[in-house]
Amino acid sequence: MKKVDRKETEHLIRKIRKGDLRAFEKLASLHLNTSFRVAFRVLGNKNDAEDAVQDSWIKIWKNISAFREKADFSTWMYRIVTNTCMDYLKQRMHRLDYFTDQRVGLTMAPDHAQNPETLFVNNEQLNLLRRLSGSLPPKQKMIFILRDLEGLSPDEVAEVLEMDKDLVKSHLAHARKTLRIKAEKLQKEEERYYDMRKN
Amino acid sequence: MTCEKIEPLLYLKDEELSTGEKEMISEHLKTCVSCRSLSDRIAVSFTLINKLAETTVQPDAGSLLGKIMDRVNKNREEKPGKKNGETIPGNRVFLLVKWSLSVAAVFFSFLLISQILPGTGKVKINYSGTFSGEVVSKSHLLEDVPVRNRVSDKDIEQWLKTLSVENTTTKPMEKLIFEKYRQQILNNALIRR
Repeated sequence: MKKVDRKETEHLIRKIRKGDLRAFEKLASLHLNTSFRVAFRVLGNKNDAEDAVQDSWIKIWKNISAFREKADFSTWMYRIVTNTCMDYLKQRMHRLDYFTDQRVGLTMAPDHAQNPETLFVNNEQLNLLRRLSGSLPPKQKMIFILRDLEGLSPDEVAEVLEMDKDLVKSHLAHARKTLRIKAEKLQKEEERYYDMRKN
Repeated sequence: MTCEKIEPLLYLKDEELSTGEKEMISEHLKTCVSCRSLSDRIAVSFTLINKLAETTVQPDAGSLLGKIMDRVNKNREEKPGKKNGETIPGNRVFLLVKWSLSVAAVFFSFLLISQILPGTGKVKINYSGTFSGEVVSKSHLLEDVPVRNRVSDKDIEQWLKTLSVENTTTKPMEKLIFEKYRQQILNNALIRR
């Protein structure tokens, strides 16, 4: 997990508690990329990710007094962002693009990014990620993203999601199995497609 | 150890396994061809996952931060002043003024209502041959009894006629008068009778 300097974060939080808006802006800017990256990986499109990040930072602003000074801010922030994203996923259960993404797998939800060149480094890989992780149940998806993509340790994932460490490992094994099977299936489909084009 | 028990462990990375689990896997793979094959395929999928992890996405930071700060500014009023003894963000001067105004509004409302509405005035009981009662302002009263309505001579006369020590009355106003002036009323009532 890439961490922002802890002392600087603690210093900023003390100032925020005294009502310092500039300190809040600074804190948000330090952690903005991380929170957006997680939200984007969970939700799969820019608009929803931006909305979830905004909601998350409003929650951070409102609840900063509840944050224990000795705790790790990154863990707390991850928890707020993942919980917010979880709510978005639940809301999306009723939306057509969710089912398109989940059931067909190969049909992607439309992305409304205005400047995709600034958003994507590798569009193909992101699409692949979306296609693979889209088939995971929300909890497994969250654990996979935090552990395998964000690089949090199993202990940190357990703390963020307030789960037992063994349960995290169990979900992780299930998630990786699902992804392996899906990736192999996609690879076979791709090979069949190229074979057809050759012939 | 059976393949069913080993398989979930194959999906975990070295740092996620205990020493005992690592030994179990190692022993099992020595003799199980299908699990060795599965382990190789899992390793390939781990490579793919690592590639995906390297893919980064970045927001339009300036725009997103601006939106967050706009919302925070709109939400500042929702932020309470203190929680669990800690100062939390918010304009404390504004909150103080807001609280003061609220308290003042409640106080003046109470004063206004107490002067206007019937039933919230005070009555003074006099005895000069007959009992009388009148609604007077607070400042002129030596002894105050709250009543719901103005008390007339006739009311008190009527009430005295039905008076008995054991069973006074259930009407709130009369009960209050009686409790306050019990002895005086009884003495005068006896004298009058």
